[in-house]
Amino acid sequence: MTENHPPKLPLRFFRFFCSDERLEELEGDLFEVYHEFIEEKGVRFSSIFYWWIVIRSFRSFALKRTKMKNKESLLSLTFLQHNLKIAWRNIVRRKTTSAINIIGLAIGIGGFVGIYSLISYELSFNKDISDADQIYRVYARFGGAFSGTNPGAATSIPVYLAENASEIETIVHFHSFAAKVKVIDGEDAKSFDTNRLIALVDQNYFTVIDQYRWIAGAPETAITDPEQLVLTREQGEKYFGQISPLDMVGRIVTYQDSLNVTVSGIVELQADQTDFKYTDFISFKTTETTWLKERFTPNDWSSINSQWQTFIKVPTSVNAQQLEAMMDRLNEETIKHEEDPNTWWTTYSLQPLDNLHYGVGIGIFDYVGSPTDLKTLRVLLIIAIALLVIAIFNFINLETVQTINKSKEVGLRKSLGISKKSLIARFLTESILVAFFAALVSLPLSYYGIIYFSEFVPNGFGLDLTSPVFWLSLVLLVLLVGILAGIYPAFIASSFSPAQALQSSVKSLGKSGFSGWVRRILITSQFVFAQLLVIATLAIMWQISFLLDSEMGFKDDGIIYFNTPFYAEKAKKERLLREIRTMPQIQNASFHESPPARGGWSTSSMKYYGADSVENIQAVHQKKGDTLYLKLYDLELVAGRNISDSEKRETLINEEYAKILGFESPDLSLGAKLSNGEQVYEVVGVLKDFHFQSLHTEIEPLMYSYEEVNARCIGMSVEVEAIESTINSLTDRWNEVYPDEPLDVRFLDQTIAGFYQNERRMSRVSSLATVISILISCLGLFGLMSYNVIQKSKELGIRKVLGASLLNIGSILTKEFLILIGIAFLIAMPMSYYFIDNWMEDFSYKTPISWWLYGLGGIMSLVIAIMSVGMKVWKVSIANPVDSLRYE
Amino acid sequence: MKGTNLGEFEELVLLTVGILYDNAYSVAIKQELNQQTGRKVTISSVHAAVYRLEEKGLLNSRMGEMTNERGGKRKRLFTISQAGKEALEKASELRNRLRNQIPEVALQHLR
Repeated sequence: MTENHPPKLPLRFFRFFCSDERLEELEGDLFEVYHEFIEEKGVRFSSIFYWWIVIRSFRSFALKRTKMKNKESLLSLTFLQHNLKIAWRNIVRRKTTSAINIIGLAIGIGGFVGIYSLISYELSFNKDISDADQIYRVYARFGGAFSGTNPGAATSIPVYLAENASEIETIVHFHSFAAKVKVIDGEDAKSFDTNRLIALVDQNYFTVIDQYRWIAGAPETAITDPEQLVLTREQGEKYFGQISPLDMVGRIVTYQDSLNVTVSGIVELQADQTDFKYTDFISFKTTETTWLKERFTPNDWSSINSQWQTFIKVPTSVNAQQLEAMMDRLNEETIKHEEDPNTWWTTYSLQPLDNLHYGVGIGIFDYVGSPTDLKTLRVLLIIAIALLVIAIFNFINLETVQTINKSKEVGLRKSLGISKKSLIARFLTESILVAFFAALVSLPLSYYGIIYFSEFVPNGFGLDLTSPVFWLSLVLLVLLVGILAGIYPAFIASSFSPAQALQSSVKSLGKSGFSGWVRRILITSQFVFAQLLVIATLAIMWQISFLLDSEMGFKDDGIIYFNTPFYAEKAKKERLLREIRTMPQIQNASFHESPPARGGWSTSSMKYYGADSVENIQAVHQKKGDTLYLKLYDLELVAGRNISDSEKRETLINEEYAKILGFESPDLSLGAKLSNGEQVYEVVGVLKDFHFQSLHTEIEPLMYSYEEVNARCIGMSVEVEAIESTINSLTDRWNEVYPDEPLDVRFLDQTIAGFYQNERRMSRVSSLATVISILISCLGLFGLMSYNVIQKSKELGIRKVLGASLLNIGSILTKEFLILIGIAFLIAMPMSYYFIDNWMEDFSYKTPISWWLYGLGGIMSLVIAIMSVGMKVWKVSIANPVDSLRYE
Repeated sequence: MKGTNLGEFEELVLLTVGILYDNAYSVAIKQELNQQTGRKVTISSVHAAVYRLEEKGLLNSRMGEMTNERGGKRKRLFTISQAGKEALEKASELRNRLRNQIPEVALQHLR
């Protein structure tokens, strides 16, 4: 009973507002009620409940009394009331300006809140695992013929570490795999789609990755014997329906038709933000008694697979040097098991758990999504802050020019003896109130913004409207924005001298002098930012369309492909292919391992034998398949002939490889002998270079050879008009051959477009940021222009009487803004050049960004600016001068 | 002092204070009310009521002993004052008087 203390924050809040005489009894009462709640409902929502009762107690019986001892607080309370009232009246009276202010700030705050929530979501991964700074993953790096990394480790690594590394406290070794799931429920069996988040784990997994809450069973008994299964609660409910977790224990689940395991524990994840998303945990010992044994080669040093994961936990006493020494010992051992350590070798490194979610280049786990780039998060943070800042700038500008309207109020108050401090407080109240309304408007904006972006934000991410932290931060943000935006205009307004202010001689404020310069600088920086975004967005879209339009060097339109199941026998595959070939809508159906371009790659180290000795060792990309491949994908031969299906030793290489091997012309490479250590190939043809990877990378050496057994992919060309019916009849034929497996048809051109998903995401975010920033800037321009027009109405009236044209009037009103936008353009241009150049470095193939793209960016922002003020200018120009002059 | 008219909830609280006699503090009143009436009463509404009743002079109060429970905070214990007793009597008497004036026939053949 005594260990559950109420949460600190609401308690502090309570102590703050509660009167001293009643604090003790009320705090005690709340304490008791809080515990009553915990006993009845548990701790889960207890802190929300405590917040609730504290807020409910915000009533007269508890509040600090106003009849009180010190007069000061009474005064400030009435002042606050008074200020709020005046602020509210001001906001209501100046509807247009207030609306512009609120909308501008709302867009800025909305963008900021949305992006910031996303960033903090991404930064909160794997926080439920204790002692994260002591946990590391062992992952592989390759050197030599080809370099790269793999998030897994060979199966002998944990065994070796267990025997030889005393530094380690616990070793976690687990294996993930995918299988179809069947659950028998009385008479009927329920089948489920392939689950890719199954892991073979032992007790250590739950000891170290201690993010789970055990609802049924215990880690000491539930995962230690063969054929035991632990499920997450969610998964259990998927398999067995809505039954109590205790009833799930003892049920049997069948994986891949033959692996029967018994549920012995149910766990629950506390937070969504984890990379350990596995749902089905099968005890590691199960490998000893079932067919899983075949998947698992213990003490193997050579095959490294991302499914085999090794984590270690070390005590705090072990320092970085000791860890390094340990890894050096491991790597010395590894190299002893290397077949040919001079051409190709593996080393192991440690990745801290804290870095797991952000290890770009290493990857997280199979099928849990790709790592988040901290660099992207940083860019997003900059964009978020910049949006907020330009919204604040906007507010400052509009408020500063409006201060003249307040001159009477200031004069009056000052002559009645108000202090400058109170006057500033009065104006700050107003700006905070505006910020408050803006925050209210911004919430639906960012809420629906996130939904609009749902395909780009991680699953399960949304604004956490139930969290008190969120609301509290929002309140803080409102205060911060209100004060930042209001402080400068408040100073300006409160600095009028009363006599001057009452005489209404403060006519044109901000035309010259300090405040004028501040305003100009603020406008310019708004437009610098807006133009920066416009140009960057244009450049990104330009590059993406270049990437998508570039010739890959093979045919990709109207081509579909799919993979046949790896476990099925070859005869089935051939039967399917025969059937497909009888379909008239389909041409050139071909077997191969993979289409010309795909996401992954596979290379082998090839030796080239010159006249008498090995001349070249090279990592070469491998493509394999039948002889129709070239015809299907329209691949051109520049020398020699296609391979034949009778002779397995024939191979085709690409021009790049021929060049690397030192042949001056492709013809000369014909007949060259290449060996991968097992088999010797003879070059019979040279393929024209084509892009088999995304255009981020240059063309690398490649060879194509004949393969039947492992060629699981069937690609074919179909008529675009008949594509739907074709796929339908394909599905029928597929279901006859593979009744258990769904058909997953892919379009080659979509696969290629998928290479640039990151870039599209970037372009989507930057276009949205562009729109927001332009919108805010233009709202600001519009507001300033409305004000300008009122200020200059007499001047314009007289000019019109004297015969000024529409153009004259337009130029008088817009000249200054146009100059400022011009200056902004001059500043934005080199900055955007720098950013674009940086971004483009990721691509081996890039389109030159010509000068006119920058020009276009500048002109676009100019046109938008003119459009936003155009209406106002037009209205003034056609107005009857009498209206503005008659007044006197 | 405000008028001594009792609101319905105030009357319930006042009665409950009487029932609890020596242990009438806010949380106990809340629990008793929950049990007796089956209503979900929140602690803050009980607070509002007892302090108002005290202001009206219908309740007296004193601080309880220091204990280890409740995070070491003392309770405020309430007892009915003379004025409270009179107010209760007045209320129930008023109610009975009104009830007795209803003619028999008005309560027959109700739909």
